[in-house]
Amino acid sequence: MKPYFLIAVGLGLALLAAACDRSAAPTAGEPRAVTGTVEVKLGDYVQRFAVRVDRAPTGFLAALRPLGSAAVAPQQLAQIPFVKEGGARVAPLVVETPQGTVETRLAYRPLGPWHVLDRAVTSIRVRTPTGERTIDLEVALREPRLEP
Amino acid sequence: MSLHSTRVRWGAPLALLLALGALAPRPAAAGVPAPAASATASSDIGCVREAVAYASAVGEYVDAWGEYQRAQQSGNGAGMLAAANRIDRAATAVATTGILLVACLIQLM
Repeated sequence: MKPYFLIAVGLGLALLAAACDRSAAPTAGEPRAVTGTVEVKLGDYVQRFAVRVDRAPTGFLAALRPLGSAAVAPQQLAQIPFVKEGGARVAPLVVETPQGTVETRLAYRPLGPWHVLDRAVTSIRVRTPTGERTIDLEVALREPRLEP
Repeated sequence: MSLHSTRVRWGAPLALLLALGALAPRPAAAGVPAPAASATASSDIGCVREAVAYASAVGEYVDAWGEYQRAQQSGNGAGMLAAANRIDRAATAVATTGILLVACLIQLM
C-alpha cells in the first residue's frame, strides 16, 4: 500500500511543479500582444494589414487582416516574425542569384520587453530599357503598440 | 528494513518523478535567441530558392512595366489595360516571393 501512496505523492508533486512553472506563461504586468499596421510597399504598389501578435507559450502568433483590397495572402505575411524576444541583426543579408544579387536589410527596434520589426527592405539591381535601377520591396510595421 | 529494500521502495516514485520531469512542459524555445550568423554579408546563407523566386518575379515585373510603356507610346488602350493587369499580377508575385524570402532569412538570424 505504501508504494502506491508514494507514487500518488510523487505524481502530485510533479503536477504541482508543472503548474507552478511561471516561465511558460506571461507574467503579471507583461504585455500580452503587439498591434500595429503592416505595410507592404513596392513602388506605388502599397498594401496594408492590421496586425496583432500575441504572446503564446510556444512563441509569438501573428494574425493579419487586410485593410482594403489586398492581393498578398495574410497567411504568408504571418510567417514573418514581427515580434522577437531579442537579437536584432543589422548586417545586410546577401544572396547571389543568376538574375542578380538580392540584398535584404532588416531592422528591429525595442518595444517594451520585446523587439519589433521596424522594416525589412529587399533590393535587387536590374537592367531596364532605360538603364539600371534598384527595385526595393519594403515590409514595415507602422505604429506598433503594446497591448496589456 | 534493509538498505536494499529502502532503495527499491523509493526507486519507483523517484523514477516516475524523473520521467514526469522530463515530460513537463518547457518554456518556449522562441525566447532564446539563436546564435547570430556571421556579421558580414554572405552569399551562402541559404534561402537561395526563395531569392531566385523573388529575382524572377522582379524580372517579370520589370518586363510588365516595359510592356506598359510601349503600349502607352502606341496609344493602344486595350494593350495598356492588359499591361496594367500584368503589372498588378507581377507586383503581387514580387510581394509574395519577397515576403517568403524575408521570412526565410529571418529564420537564419
